[in-house]
Amino acid sequence: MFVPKSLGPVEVSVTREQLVRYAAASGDFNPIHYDTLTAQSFGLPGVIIHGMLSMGLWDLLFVPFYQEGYRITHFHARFRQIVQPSQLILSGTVNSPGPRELRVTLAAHVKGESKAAVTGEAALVLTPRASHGTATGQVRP
Amino acid sequence: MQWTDELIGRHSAPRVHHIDRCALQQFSCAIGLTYPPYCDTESALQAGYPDVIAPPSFPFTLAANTIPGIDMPAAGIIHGEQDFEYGAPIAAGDHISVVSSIHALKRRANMVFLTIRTVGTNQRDEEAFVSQSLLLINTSTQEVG
Repeated sequence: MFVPKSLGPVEVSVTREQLVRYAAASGDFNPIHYDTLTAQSFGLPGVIIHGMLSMGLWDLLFVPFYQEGYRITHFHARFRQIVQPSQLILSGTVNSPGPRELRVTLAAHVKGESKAAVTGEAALVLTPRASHGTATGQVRP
Repeated sequence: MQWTDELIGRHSAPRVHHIDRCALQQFSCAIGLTYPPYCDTESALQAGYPDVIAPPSFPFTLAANTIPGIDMPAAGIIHGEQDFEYGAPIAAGDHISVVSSIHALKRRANMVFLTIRTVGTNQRDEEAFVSQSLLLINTSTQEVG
């Protein structure tokens, strides 16, 4: 497989509607993510994006690797700044320390800002399909 | 509550989550993820999985039971960092048992830096994930509240 040196940039529009949907799907109903007055009562400028939503969005960058048989083994995020609903720019740089291993350095920027709001890393390993193997562990009557 | 070193190592009782296919699909859909095995059973089977699988940020939603002696403030917690290591993939139909523990605790001025480690184990006794969350707790606002 051709391994690109950089991933993205992918631009994602994160709206308040998506925060409500993510709250429901994740079970994180902290009102600072959907209620402006509550957010402001905690000194925030308005509702903010769930950190775990911005981390989860990086998965969009990994899809070409998954389709080549890579699996994620490690994922790390540092939430550096609060992020309000906005256009998020996701990007990554790829290092390949071994023939079957990728290390990705990740960033999420609010569009137009130079400093990343979230930074992170991921490791992916090329896995033979047979060792996905959870199907073999199933007992069928 | 007093955030002392004695809390390090304390852990919750196990809590088992049944992984529901619709819940996985809704989670991936809410983020807008595109890898087909997250939502489509046929694609998951073709990729070698028994059913749709969980995306990497999903384990955070598998809440553990409370850790004895830990009284988390209702507000004012900042999620500073998040780390996952992955073992067996999580697929719909799995039963994942989660146990959380206090992995590290540091104090600086009014802030407590708490690392909570959560281990998820599937019904075959395979480790599915190890999650570490760094939480920043402002204890001065707690005293006021």
